[in-house]
Amino acid sequence: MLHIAICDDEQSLVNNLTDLLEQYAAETSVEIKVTPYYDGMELIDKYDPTIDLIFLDIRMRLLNGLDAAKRIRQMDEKVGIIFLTTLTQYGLEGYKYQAANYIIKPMKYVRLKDEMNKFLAHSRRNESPSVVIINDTGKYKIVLKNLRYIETFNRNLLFHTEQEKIICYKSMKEVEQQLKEQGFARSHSSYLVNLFYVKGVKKLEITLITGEVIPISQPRRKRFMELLTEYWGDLL
Amino acid sequence: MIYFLSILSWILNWSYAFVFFQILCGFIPSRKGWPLRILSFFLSSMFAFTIVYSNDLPNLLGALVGFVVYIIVFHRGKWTEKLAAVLVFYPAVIAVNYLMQDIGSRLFFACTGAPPDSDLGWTQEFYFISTSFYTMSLFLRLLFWIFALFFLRKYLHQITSNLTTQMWLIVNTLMLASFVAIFTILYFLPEEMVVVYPICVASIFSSFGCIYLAAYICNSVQTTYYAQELERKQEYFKDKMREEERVRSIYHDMKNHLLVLQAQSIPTQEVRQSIQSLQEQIEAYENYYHTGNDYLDVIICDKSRLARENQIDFYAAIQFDEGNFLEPLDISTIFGNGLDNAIEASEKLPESMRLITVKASRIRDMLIIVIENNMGLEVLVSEKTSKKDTFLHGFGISNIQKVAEKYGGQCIAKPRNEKFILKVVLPIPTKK
Repeated sequence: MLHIAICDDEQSLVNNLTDLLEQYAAETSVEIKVTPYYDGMELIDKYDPTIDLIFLDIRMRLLNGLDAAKRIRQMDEKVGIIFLTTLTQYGLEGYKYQAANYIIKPMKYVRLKDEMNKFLAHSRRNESPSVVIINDTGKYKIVLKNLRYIETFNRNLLFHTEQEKIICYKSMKEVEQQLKEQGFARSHSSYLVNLFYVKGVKKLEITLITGEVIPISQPRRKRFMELLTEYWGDLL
Repeated sequence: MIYFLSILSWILNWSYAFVFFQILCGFIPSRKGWPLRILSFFLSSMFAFTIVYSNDLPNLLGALVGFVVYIIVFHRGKWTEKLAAVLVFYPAVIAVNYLMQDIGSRLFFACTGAPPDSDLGWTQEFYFISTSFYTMSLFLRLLFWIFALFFLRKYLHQITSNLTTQMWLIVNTLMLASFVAIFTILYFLPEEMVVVYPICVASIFSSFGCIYLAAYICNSVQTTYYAQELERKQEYFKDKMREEERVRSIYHDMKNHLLVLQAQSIPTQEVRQSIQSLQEQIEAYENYYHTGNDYLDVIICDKSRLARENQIDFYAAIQFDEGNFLEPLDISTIFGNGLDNAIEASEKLPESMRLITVKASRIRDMLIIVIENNMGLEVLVSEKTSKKDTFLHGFGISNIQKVAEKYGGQCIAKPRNEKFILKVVLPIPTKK
């Protein structure tokens, strides 16, 4: 079940949004529970950790939405927040929002549906997948978000994780096949990179956020860039 | 030895058939499905192997009819394209085969002085020389077609994807010359006429020349069209920008006047109300988008207005301060084309489904741009067949792709679920 909080001081908007969410629930058969709050302080004081998603008005009397969001983030890292704003406010202050997720109210159903679909797809993706590797020294469970890249190493593979380097006896092709749905892309015949770690791309090399530099081979560049585009486009 | 040579000729023959099939499919795609493709490969090879002698009507005509039927049945495309395929490939294949066969036999008889028929007592040596001539000629033919494949591959694809019906007709008319030339000279001119050769060679080259010409025309027409289009857009946005500035300054003044009016001694209830309503109207005007890039502000503002006029729910979250390394022209190519496509697609939907989302932001050292729009499922299926004018279709996307590649980035445009999503990644150059 999806627990959604609506936090806005306008009764009519809360009602309208609740109706739209009910329509969405009926259409997609996702179970939705809506809890209304009429002020940011109220939401924070009695913060309910079962909430999955908050629709948060930016301009409220006691506490504004952006500050409320900061306080909520301290209590709950995972909860989704979508800001509500009016066209006028957005026009005046849009530059403050830093491309955060917001909806201009009053919203149409088609917009709400789109945002809900995105939220659900995103929260499904957020589970942290892992792989298990067995080698001479034992059995390792590697959480993929800690795996920076994989490199060929004397006919074997070397998994570079945040903590250590682990040898694996599988072939690059096999591992690539296994990880290609998980945001990994081949930049070079001997490198498979976790796209999340990519900081920037130059002509024939990739910089990771850790500062490491990984080569790109010319024939693989196009495909690699396509996968990178696909990956980051989804995260934006 | 003869045995070895005949195996070699067999291999040469089939590789030739394969190369020919590749070229043919590059020009006009065969119908889908593996069994069909294999069948069409064998049928096209039958045509490719046709041996023609002078005054040989059954073969000339038979090959023509066979090839026409084959193209109609086994290949996809408009009738003009099919006609063009026949007009290009028929003379080329017939001329090459005729030349190969005729020159081969002439040389053979000239060198060896063998009796004109094998029944009249050919020695083993004659057979050997004959076979080696044959193999040699097959080899040359294979070389010729491989050369043609590499040379033409680029153009073949270009023209088939971009030519309009009228252009096809012009190209077809031009190619008619070589087609008729081959047919008539081979049929009407008496045998033993070496004068046939230059005509054969000429028609081979003119049919391939036509392909090149068509590709060239179509390329240059497209480029000019696009350049004009861009200039127009650039001009338009500049105009808009000037206008925007003028209007903005007027509104700014008005706002101040209103503040002054409001502050003046005790306005009546009516005056206060009208001042307030005027202020609200002004506020509403200030809904221009702040993207961090003046040029992009104007584009987004313009397109969002267009979207709203078409009852499209439009939403833009753009942080483009880092986008200043892009030339204005390229910004308008990406956003202008992307949004035009999105708006055009949305117009086909019922109003309640129209939705466009634009997002752009710097993530680390990359600039990421996403433009999404809803599309109906039925549009998805019929998209490929419903486009009548292929000339300009897909133009937008391919130009965005060019811009992305210019900056070392990439662009992907594809439908997913009920949406069409355009994603662009541009690496941000490191400042020196």
